[in-house]
Amino acid sequence: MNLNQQLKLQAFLDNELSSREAKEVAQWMEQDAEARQLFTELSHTRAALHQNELEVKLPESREFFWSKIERDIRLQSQQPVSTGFSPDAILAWLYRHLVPASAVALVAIFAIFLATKPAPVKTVAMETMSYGEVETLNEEMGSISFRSESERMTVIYLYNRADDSEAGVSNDGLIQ
Amino acid sequence: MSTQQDYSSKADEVLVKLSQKGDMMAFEELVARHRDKIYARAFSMVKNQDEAIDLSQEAWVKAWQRLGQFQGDSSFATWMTRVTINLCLDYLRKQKRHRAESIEAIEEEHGGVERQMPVVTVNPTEGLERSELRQRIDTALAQLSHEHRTVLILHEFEDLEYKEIAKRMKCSIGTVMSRLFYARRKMAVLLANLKKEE
Repeated sequence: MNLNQQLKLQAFLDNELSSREAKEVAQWMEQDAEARQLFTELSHTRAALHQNELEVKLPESREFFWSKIERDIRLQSQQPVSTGFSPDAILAWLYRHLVPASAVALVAIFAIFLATKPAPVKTVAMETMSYGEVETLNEEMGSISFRSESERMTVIYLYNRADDSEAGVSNDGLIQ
Repeated sequence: MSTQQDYSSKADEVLVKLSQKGDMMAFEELVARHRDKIYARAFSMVKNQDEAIDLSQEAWVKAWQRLGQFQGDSSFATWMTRVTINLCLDYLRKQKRHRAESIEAIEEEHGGVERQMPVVTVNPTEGLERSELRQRIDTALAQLSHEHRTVLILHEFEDLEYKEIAKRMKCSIGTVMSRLFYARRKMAVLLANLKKEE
């Protein structure tokens, strides 16, 4: 007999089974002597305990026991009611509202920082070959600019367009 | 002016209604009537006189605070007992965190040991006087672990169903069933041993 079967026997004794399950257990017990023996033992124990709890008396006098209860009841009813302006209440309010608000603010600040942070330049070549558009008033003058993020420097190279073909620079300013 | 004598003749339901209106003398009468039963329940669960006194005292104070919640669905005694049981269960849970468990207790808790116990074929309580039987039961109960004693008390003495016991002890129905099974088997062996010592 496994534990499941043993627990089913107990549940049958305690009327905790459905009528279908109870019928199955009853039929099983008719055929199984071991099951009947265990059921008998459980029944004896249950019957022995039924209404046979030892009665004990409180080892204190009525007056003394009541005096302690009364004292505790009066003490609890005298607890100061919070008006909302006590230091404890204020601290509690601050903790309750400011801590979550601070957390939200920190997250927002971090998000803004990430959004506005300039994109890092990944390679030296890219760093040195960042071409910006520089407007010049003189149409004969061309310009090439580059910015170095690490050096935080922008260099603008101005050249005479008349010399473009010699320099190998196209009209849009790209070195070819 | 009301005297304590006036209250002693009143039914529990009347005293409860008076207590709910703030009549402490009425409540004192309720305490006097049921204090032994409440103490007995606390003592049966925690098996320590001082703790049982403190817990039953705390139960009465809690009952005064929660009187407004008592609707009369059950008797006052039953409701009061439930308050006490819940306090004792909270106490036992806190104690369990601090209690070092013996190997025997761990084996008892996790099961399997009950399968090694031979079936007790003779009724170990047959022919005993009621007072003797109650004393033996109390002696045997004291030898169980808190968990097994509690489940036995709640089922056998408080007539709670498995589901209700599981809810109060914050465990599964399966755990209730296996603890109850172990507790009963152990009780059978303990009672049989006590009979042999005669």
